[in-house]
Amino acid sequence: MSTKLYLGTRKGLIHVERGPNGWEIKSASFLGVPVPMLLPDSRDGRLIAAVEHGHYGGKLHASGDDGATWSEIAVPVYPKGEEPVICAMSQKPIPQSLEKIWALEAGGADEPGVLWCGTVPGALFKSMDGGASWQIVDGLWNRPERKE
Amino acid sequence: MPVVQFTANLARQTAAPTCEVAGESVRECLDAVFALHPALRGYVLDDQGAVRKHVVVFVDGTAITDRARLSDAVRPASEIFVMQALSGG
Repeated sequence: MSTKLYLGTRKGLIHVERGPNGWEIKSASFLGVPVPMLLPDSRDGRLIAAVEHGHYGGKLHASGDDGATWSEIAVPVYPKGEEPVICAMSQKPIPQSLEKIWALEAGGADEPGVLWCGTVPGALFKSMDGGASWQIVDGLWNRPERKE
Repeated sequence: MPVVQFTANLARQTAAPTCEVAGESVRECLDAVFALHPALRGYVLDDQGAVRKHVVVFVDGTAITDRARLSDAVRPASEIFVMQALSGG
């Protein structure tokens, strides 16, 4: 049974572990800032956290020491210069700019450095270098029904 | 040369020191700052290079009008101030 729990909350990331005296808070990161997604990468033990600053947008941070220290890595960037999609509900254009990171997944055990990232506005990005850079997955982005 | 300043709030997230840079528009001045501090760009500008929705930029005390292209003119003695906008409830 797992004895480790990471809680992404609107006020930060809380790391809880179960010990002989029950569950205890071991550490807290990004206090006061929403953390909508966390990926513990079982391939290398790294943690990758999506952090959502109200004023400054979504960011990604990685930790190689179980959250004791973090360093910022790249975020997915939407293609420039394309006509924005019109929202079917509001009839307003949807800005092509990262609003939220809601999914993070590691590639397979035989794919070191591969990460997947799902975002709002709806898009899928892939990294081949552990999050140092991201490429949009054209196969989904270019489907005509995305603009419907 | 124009001086570009950022708030302490932003400096808590990433390196955002006051910079004296060359430039005749807000875009030129901010690009010069981002060349020195690349991580700062994503905190001030969105994916399309416009000022983030909840960030404001002032030149000599007046909010810039061209938030998409940042073409507002800057004088050699201008002060550019980048800060978070008041928003939400």
